[in-house]
Amino acid sequence: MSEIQLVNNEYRTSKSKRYKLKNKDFSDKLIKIILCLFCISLVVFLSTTTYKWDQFRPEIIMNMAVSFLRFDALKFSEMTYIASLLINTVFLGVLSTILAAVIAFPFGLLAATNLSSLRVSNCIKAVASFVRAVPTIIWVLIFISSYGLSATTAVVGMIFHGWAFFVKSYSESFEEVDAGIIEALKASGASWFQVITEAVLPTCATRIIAWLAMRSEINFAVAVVVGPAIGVAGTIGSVINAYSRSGFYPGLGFSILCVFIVAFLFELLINRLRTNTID
Amino acid sequence: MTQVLQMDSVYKVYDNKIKALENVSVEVHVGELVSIIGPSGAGKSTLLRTINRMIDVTEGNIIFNGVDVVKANKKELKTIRKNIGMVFQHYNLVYRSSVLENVLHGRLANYTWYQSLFKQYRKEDIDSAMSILKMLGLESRAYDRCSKLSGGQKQRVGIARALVQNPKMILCDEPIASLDPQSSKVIMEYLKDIVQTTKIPCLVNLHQVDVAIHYSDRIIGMHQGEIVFNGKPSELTDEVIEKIYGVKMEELISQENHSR
Repeated sequence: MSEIQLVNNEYRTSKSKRYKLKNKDFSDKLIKIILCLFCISLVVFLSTTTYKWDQFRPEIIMNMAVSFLRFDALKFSEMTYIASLLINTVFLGVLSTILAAVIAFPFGLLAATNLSSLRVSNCIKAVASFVRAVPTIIWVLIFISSYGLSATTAVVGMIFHGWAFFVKSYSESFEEVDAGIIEALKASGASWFQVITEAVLPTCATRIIAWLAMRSEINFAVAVVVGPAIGVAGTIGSVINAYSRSGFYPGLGFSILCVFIVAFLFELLINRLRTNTID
Repeated sequence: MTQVLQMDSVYKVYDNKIKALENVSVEVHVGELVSIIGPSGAGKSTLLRTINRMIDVTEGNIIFNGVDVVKANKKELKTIRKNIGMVFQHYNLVYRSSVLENVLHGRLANYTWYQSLFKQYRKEDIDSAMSILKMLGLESRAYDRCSKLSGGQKQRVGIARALVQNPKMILCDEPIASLDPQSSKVIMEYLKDIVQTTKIPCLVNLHQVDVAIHYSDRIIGMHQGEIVFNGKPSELTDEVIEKIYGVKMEELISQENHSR
């Protein structure tokens, strides 16, 4: 064993007498430049714009909260009506998620490089990433031209974007399956289909479920927005739109509360699934 | 002795121009435990995988059980793979499935896709899987998830999966490289026992020279894709080991520890 020898060198110091610890490269400079730009732009905007800052008054917020939370002004029939619309909306989100997942499943298998040829995989991944780059709501608007202003348009648009989402997430899950397991089954004479049902699916099952829950949450949010956007009657988005136009704030507050609760429940579900996936 | 495998001047060149196998000729007979030793990258794993054509050869002939492996069509290849069991270094089990399910994976080639999808396994296959598990001392763990097992137990499941195929030959790709000395000993004893009782020949890749000497009937030494030694363990002299590993005998750590 060679002994550690004490060194006593002269080190380079900065102007503030601190020792040099690393070689600075371009990325360090870039971070400083971008931070400076942000600070400068903040100062410029605050000093030049004439925004009415006096609109931010606590009374207005209080007023808003009170008018939103006056649920006693709601009739029970109105509450059940809103709840039924909420269920419709959840249904729209989950249904389009499940259909997209089912359609995307074979494509996900073909897009996984360890289960398919590189060329097929690249083709499918290219199409899917193009579809995914455009937001869901834009696809829904594009499909208006073929299905008109109807619920079908919403479902088709959401399935289209969901398909691309699932192709990517599924194929990535499949690609994480240990290559050795696939090799072991192939070496014993198992077919491609048997490799998938016996090795790939059991390994990925929890992840597939977690992706389903995650997309359901995204699609629920889209289903809320899609109502007023293309005029799907019977979703909570349409009624929120109607209440806000007519100025019936208790109804609006109750509807938004419902949406909030469902989004929160989805979040809880996803977290639960995620922790279960780890072990 | 009946010959099971015959490899004649096999060459394998990978796409990146690396010569993995050069003029390799190997014969394996019934009831033989043959070890392949050599440094990493000598082509041991490639050699094993050309036998069941997980890797295609560039040139040469391989006759397994009377069938030409190199020219086999899809159906023949399936039969060949059905008749060759394979054991891996990292066990390669489906950890979310049970021990019994993993063992039954060895029988998948005998089932259609819908039978395996709905898990319609025949009773005789479950019987043979259970009896093999009993022989390997894992009967009580049959319904447990594989992720709960220790390394040595996982490797025994791997061996059971190979045995349930009723193979004509077993290939072991570094079966004890991830195991502790005690588990390694158990696994090697089982392999030796299987070869002696069932007469199924076994081709084992090994890193431990002393293990190879102790358990094998024959040792094949490889160096940079070529076979430089093929003979009985007693013929494996220090000069031969030096030729295989390219370093002096004293520098091999496994020899030092066991103080032969």
